[in-house]
Amino acid sequence: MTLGYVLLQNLRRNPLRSGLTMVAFALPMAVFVVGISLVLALQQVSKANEAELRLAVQNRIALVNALPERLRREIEALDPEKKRIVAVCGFRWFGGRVPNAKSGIQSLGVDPDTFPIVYRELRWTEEEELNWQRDRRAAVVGSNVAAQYGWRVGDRVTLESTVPPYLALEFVIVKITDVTGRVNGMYLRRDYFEESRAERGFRTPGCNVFWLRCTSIEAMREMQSLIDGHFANSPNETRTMDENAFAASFTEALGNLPGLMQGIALVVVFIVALVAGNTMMMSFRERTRELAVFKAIGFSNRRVFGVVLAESVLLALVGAAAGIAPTAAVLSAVGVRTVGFLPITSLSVSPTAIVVAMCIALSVGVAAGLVPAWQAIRLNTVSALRRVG
Amino acid sequence: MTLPLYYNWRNLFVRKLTTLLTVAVIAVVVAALIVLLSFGTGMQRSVGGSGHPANLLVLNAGATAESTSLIWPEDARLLVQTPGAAVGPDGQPLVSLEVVVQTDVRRLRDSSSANVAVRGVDDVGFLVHDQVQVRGRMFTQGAREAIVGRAAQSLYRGLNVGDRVALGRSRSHEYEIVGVFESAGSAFESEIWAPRTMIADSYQRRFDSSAVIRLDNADRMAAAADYVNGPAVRLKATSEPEYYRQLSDQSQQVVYLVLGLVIIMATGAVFAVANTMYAAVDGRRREIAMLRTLGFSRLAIVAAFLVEAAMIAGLACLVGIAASLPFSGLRRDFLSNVTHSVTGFEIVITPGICLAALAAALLVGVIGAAAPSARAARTPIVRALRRG
Repeated sequence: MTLGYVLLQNLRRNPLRSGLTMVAFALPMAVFVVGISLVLALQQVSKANEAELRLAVQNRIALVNALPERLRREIEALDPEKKRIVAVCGFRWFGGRVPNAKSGIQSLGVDPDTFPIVYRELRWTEEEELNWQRDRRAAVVGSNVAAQYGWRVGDRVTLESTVPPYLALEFVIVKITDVTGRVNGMYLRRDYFEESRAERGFRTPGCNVFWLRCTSIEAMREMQSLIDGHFANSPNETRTMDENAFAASFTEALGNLPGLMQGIALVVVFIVALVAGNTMMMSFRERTRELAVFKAIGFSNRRVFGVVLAESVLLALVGAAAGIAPTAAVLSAVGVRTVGFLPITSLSVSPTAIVVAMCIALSVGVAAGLVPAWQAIRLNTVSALRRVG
Repeated sequence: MTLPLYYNWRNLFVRKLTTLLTVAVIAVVVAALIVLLSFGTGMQRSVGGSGHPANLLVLNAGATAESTSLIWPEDARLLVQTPGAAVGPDGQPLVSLEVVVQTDVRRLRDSSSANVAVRGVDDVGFLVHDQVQVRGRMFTQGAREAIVGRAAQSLYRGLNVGDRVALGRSRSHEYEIVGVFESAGSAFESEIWAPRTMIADSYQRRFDSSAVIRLDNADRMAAAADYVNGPAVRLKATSEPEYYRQLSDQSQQVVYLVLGLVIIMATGAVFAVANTMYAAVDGRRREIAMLRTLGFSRLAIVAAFLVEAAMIAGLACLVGIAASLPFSGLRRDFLSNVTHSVTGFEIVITPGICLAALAAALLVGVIGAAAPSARAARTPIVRALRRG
């Protein structure tokens, strides 16, 4: 009689309970895996951003207060030999929206000359870059936005700006990007935008943010204090920060989603542990006599301990697997485009999340089986046999 | 004939540990539900419940929020003739022109920076927004004085009465805070209010952001909106409550997401309850058969197990509510992606939320117990009595 056979028989003796326990295990585990995958995906976005060595320069008082366009030259002049700065690109909030659409698109006017350099990771082909430079109406669109409105490269689209002077402009899509973190954005040429503003009497060309691509992390740190120092006590005081610090001020718009997810993950682990503990207690109580028989016919304490513990662990692992596998399948099939505000195109279940979930299942299984297994060792064979089950 | 409740209550204690663990499972789900719900509703209430039903908010036709709206003075003048506008004690129509700008403040909690809305209003603004109650002194028109909302004061640094807050395009103008105001928990409480002329000067603004018109009564809303939207004015009119409802759409998304997760966890809890109740039924086969021979109907048996599950759920709900109470009264803020300014909200565990949690817990308990109690009712009497 092998351990495996005993285990299988034990799980089959009350298939209903085994089944219920597995489902009670699987559902919270599915939530756990989704939550952790989401947190990891967001972390990946910020890691990718870090590698791009970008700095954001904004008005110290508020992002909505635009800085004059000429500050780009001043920033560039701080590093005349271009040892630390690769390029500077000014961004102005366009706040566009497809006419009559309910929600807006994260759309920004960008300096056309330096945008392909500062956002090198968008993997520009020669043709795309040429089209971007040639046509003033050119726009680069994130793949989530393009999918939402059914846009393709070459399409002409009209956007209404929700900020003064409320322009309605036509754009030609020259590139659709699926690079992580840029999938919900739309980038248009600031020269076109500013000219249209000027026609409406808004002759104050400016930028909400200047993005700098630096040559190294040290260069980033140096530039950060250099820029803020240079503009201190001027009418345009600046605040310079790295890309993740800049992004962090927006993620709070969602009420700290990663924190929420981690909290939920903890709750889930707790629930799962309780369910497993509960089942193992019940299962053991039912079989007190049977374990006594095992001991009476010469099973060693260690063997009995192993049988009880292994059952708990097996149940936990199978339950977790039953929750994770379908979740992974569904997520890869559906994607997360429906949850539009996330900076990612698709949420795949990360291997890390699976490993973590299985490790948790393992430890929960061990913890839940430990008390009954210990009781099994301490079982007084004679009195247990006498007890009416 | 039904079984006495005392019988059910005593039964819970036969399997103390199992009952306790099941209670804990449901309690965790209940606590999670309560905290997340009160988080979401707190967020929604802070924005969604703002505005007076007889107030008409006027924005530029292209704008989606006050902070990105511009109203030219010549257009603003036309608003005085809005049909149905109420008339103030001085004989002037109640039209409040407002400048909405922003300033950067530090959170008390972690010193991170937050964008707070600054609203410049004239005296008529307090007639239009008559829910605003000022504690301390009101600012004087023409002076660099400000009053702050209660939520803003409790969340951000340096906004107490007597403090000076630096406002203006280059933050070079200091305003003395002379009072704190409440407005029935609405979004205004997250703002700083100051005289309109002073704010316009400090921020070098020649235009107003929005206008709020108080109407004689809410029925005249449509006619007034037609006038404002029409060819004479060509601005965009929304009822004030509707404007704030739209702003709270964003927080609704978070609520839906969270509810989805809680529903999945609750389903897990249903199976946990089913598991426990099956164990209870199986352990009491003889007892059930005995009750049936005594004359208790199948229905009474089903009811007994459902009541038992409901007791577990009710108990769990109490534990869950107790566990979530420490979160009550926490204050947080969130950044709107429409106005780009923060709104403070309070996590309040209301009786309504507790009732919803109780309903959810009972539902979990009863659904989980349905199949086991049906099995109990089908217990074959003779065989169960003979066994063991």
